[in-house]
Amino acid sequence: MDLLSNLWLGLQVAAEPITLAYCFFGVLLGTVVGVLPGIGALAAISLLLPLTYHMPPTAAIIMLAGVYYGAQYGGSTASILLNLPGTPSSAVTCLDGYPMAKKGKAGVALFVTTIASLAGAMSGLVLLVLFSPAIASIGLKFGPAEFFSMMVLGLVAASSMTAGSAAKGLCMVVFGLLLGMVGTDVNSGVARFSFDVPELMDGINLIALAMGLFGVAEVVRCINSADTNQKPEKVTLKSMVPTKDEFKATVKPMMRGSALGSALGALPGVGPSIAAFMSYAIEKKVAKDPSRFGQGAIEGITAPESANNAAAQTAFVPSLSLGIPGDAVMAVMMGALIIHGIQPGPNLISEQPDLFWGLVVSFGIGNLMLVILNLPTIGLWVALLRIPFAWMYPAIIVFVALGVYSVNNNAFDIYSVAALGIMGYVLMVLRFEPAPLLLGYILGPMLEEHLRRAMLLSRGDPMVFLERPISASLLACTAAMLGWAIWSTVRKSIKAKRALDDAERLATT
Amino acid sequence: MKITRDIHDLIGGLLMVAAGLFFVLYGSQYNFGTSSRMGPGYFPVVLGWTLAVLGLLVALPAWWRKGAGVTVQWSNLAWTIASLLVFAVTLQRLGVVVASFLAALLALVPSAMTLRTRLIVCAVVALLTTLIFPLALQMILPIWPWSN
Repeated sequence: MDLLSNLWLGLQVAAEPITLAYCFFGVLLGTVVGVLPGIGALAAISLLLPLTYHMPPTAAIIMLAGVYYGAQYGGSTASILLNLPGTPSSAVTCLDGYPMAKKGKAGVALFVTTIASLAGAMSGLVLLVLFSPAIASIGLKFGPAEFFSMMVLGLVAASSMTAGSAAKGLCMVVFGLLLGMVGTDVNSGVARFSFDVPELMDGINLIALAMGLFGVAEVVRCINSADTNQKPEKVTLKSMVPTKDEFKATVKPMMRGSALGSALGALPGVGPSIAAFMSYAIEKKVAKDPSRFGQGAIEGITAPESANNAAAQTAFVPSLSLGIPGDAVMAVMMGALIIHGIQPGPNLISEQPDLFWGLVVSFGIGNLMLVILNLPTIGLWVALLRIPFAWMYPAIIVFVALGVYSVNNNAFDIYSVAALGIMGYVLMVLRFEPAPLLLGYILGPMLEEHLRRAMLLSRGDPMVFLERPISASLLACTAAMLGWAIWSTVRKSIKAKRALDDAERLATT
Repeated sequence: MKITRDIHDLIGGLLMVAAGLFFVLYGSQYNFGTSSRMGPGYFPVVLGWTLAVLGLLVALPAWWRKGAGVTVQWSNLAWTIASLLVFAVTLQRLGVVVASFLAALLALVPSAMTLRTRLIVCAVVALLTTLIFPLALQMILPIWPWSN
């Protein structure tokens, strides 16, 4: 069997002691940043990025990926114990996890979410193994028109399906695309938007942008939240064992969550957060007694946790099979591959089989490591939550500065982190989502390149995007999504206008 | 009672309009080209217009919507940025130990810590940074002010 020999190849790569060590370090760090509210996987990955320059590419990507899915495990801990989501995708877990903790069931909740995470991740992994090679072989037939349409779909999906308004998400994507334009244009050699600053000729530094948006801005926001620090209760191993009924109640939600998360995660632009939210909504719909939700329903934590972990695994499908990252974290990891001279795309699996299959097998190993990390050592993570944020953030700032400095050994990059950090904080204050911006920034140059090529081949006829069936159907999906976004925005605006009118009438009378 | 409009989106949308127009104006100095042979100016200018229109779409509905005022943690922002800048300036001149100590000290200004813990945290940051970056990761950096 082809698949078996491929997996054997992957096992050989992933089981090398040095790779195992990197994988362990990745999932460990992922758990730490997942547990700690305020620092996310993105900040951690961009912090590690400069360090991966001197590592073999496979080990580098295995470690970075470990941080990503490790954070999904750790994220639920703070949600359950403190009602603070450690990662955006575990925000849903607060809804029922925290009430469970208040009832003295924190241990059970932590145990169940870990098992649900494992189940979700494993089913996502199966999907990844089965579908990526197939999608890649379709991707080989893609021309520039298809790639362009696929990226547009991913960008629109990532922006219009965020929690906030679709128009703001789209703004962020376009703004990100524009930031991606800074630097030397590959076709003409013109330095665009560089303002005669030599450092800007190479474009805005990816690491500086990611750290500014997700590191500095988050630190600024969280400094004072540390003063109102709650102390989590201690959790004993004994309290983690669920009763038979509790265990039974989790099986079906776990399966539903895994299936939904795996399917959604594979779509470009749909990440773990959306998968978690949708699976929570579905559980509420199918439950016999929906009123229990929000009061500590065990289904309310299992389904979303398996969904977000499944989605975190299948998010690798579009990135590894087509070279189109589905969310910002994937985009940064693509950036890491490109830095190592590996061009992500449909050829990746056939040209770099040891990288792809090694990564896949390492996911399996890493997820098992995470279960071991999360169950017996839970006391350690709870203790980690007792450290006040004020003791940690000065170190984060210094690490951010040194990490970005190490890319080019140039202090200019620290100044850019400062400037981009201000920008990130302004966007945060104005409630713009930074993740679509980063995705746009990474896809910008690729999008332009494919657009130019497609239009050159068609002699300037834009109909080429509609005449090719794959491209046309991708654009149709995009149009449907935009239509839905516009419709719901208009509906919301009318409602808001009425509310304002009512309030003003009340204020005047 | 005074009713506030949705200031966030109003400011945000207008900022996006400004950014879009900036890219359009600044980008118009580059060759626009034709749609079959796009110049370096084509994509940025088109995107700039798109951003300006989207910004309007964010700002306009916000005028007809209720919202809360904007809160900005000015001092947190100022001290964090100051800490980054001081680190950038002092790193090569004074070495990792002093630069990270100073940066941590500045970053801690907005927190409510006693002087002793403050100094301990800064010392730990300086120690960790020195252990991780120049020693463990072999980055070439001056450690002390006199190691240049």
